[in-house]
Amino acid sequence: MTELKEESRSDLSLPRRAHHVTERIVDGELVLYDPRRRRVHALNATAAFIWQTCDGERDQASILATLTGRYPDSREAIEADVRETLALFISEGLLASA
Amino acid sequence: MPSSARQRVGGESRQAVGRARTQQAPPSSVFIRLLSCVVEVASNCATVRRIVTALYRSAMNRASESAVVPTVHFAILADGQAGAGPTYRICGEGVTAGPFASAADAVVHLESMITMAAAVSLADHVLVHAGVVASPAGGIVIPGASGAGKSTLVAALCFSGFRYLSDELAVIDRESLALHPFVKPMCLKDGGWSALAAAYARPPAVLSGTRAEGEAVHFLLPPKVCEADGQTRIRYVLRPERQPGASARLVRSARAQTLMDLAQHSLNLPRHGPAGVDLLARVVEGAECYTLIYDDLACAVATIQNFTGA
Repeated sequence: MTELKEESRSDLSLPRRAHHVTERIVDGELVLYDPRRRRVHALNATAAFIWQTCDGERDQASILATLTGRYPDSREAIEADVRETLALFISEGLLASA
Repeated sequence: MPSSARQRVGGESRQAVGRARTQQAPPSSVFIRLLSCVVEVASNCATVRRIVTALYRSAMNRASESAVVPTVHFAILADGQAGAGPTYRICGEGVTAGPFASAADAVVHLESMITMAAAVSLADHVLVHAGVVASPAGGIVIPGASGAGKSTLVAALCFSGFRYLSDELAVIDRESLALHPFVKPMCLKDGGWSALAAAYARPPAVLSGTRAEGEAVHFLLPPKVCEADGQTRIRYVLRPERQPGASARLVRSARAQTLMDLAQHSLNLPRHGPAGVDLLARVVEGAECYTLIYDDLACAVATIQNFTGA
C-alpha cells in the first residue's frame, strides 16, 4: 500500500528512480525492468542520461542545466526532451515520490 | 495397463471415465512426453487414441523409452447416443470441454490444452512464445504474436532441412541458456497451410480440424526433430515482419530492442523477475539479432539458409 501511495505522489519536483526498477546494460543501451507492471523499457541515450540524473536531489531545472551543459546548442530541444521524458517516466511508474 | 491408467486419471476425469466404462469400451491411455512433462491421455475411443498417437508420434517414442510417471492427465470420452453419432468430451487438469461432434475436433482442442498444461509444468525454465529451429550454426528463435507467421516459417524451414524444436514455445534453460526441444506437432492455420503448399511439396496433414472459435487448423509432423535430451545454443533471434511486396532481407536489430521483444513474448517472465530479464539479456548478448522482412515464404527461407550457412 505504501508503495502504491509513493507512485501516486510522483511528481517532477525532485524526480527519483523507483527502487523496485532494476537496470541492465545491453550492448551499451540501458534497459529497465519494472516487476510491478511487468514491463521492460529500452532507453535511448538521452533518456538514459535523464534517468541517471533522477537521484532525488535534482529538480527539473537542474537536470536541464546538466544536459544543456553537455549540448549547449540544443537547449530548446533538450528542454522538451527532459519534460516529456520525465512525464513518461512518471506515467510508466518508474519514478518514486520526491 | 488399463486398470492402472484409470487409477492415475485424477479428479473429475476419473468419474467421467467410470461412466464411460459402462457405455463404451474401457478407456486406455496414451502417454506423451514433452521434456519433463509426461501427459496421459485416456480415452474409451480407439479412433481418438489413434489420432493422438499419430499426432504425437515423436513424443510418443520418447515416453516409451523409459519408465514414465505422468504429471498431467486428460481424458477424451466418447458418448454414444442411440440413433446418433458419438460426441466427445474432454476433462482433466480442472478443465472440461465439449461436446465435440468429431474425434478430430476434440483432439484439436486437446492439443491446445496439452500445450498449455505442459508449459505450466515447465515454468522453471524461461518460456518465450516463439518458433524455434536449429541450423548447423545453432538455434534460431523466432518470436512473435499469434498470427505473425511463426509456425508457417518454422514449417517451411523444417521442410528445407532445419531441425525442429518447436513452433510455439522456446524453452530456455536457466543455467546453460540453451534451448530444450518442445516437440509439439506443428500447427498451421489455413493461410499458412496454403502458403506452405504453394512453396513446398508438403505431406498431407496428420490431423485437420476446427478450433472452438471456428478457425480451421492443420497439423504436420516435422521431418527432422532435435534430440529430446539435446540442448541447442541460441545463435540467432529473428523477428519476422511480413511486408507485402518486400524482398526478403535481414536487418540487424538492436539487442536492447530484441530483449524487449523476447520479454514481451515471454509467458513467465514475472515469475523469474530481474533474473529472467538478465537471462534474456545474456541470450541476446550471445546471439545475432535481426528483423526478417519478407513477403514470399520461399525467399525468406532462402535468405535464412544463406545467412546461417544451412
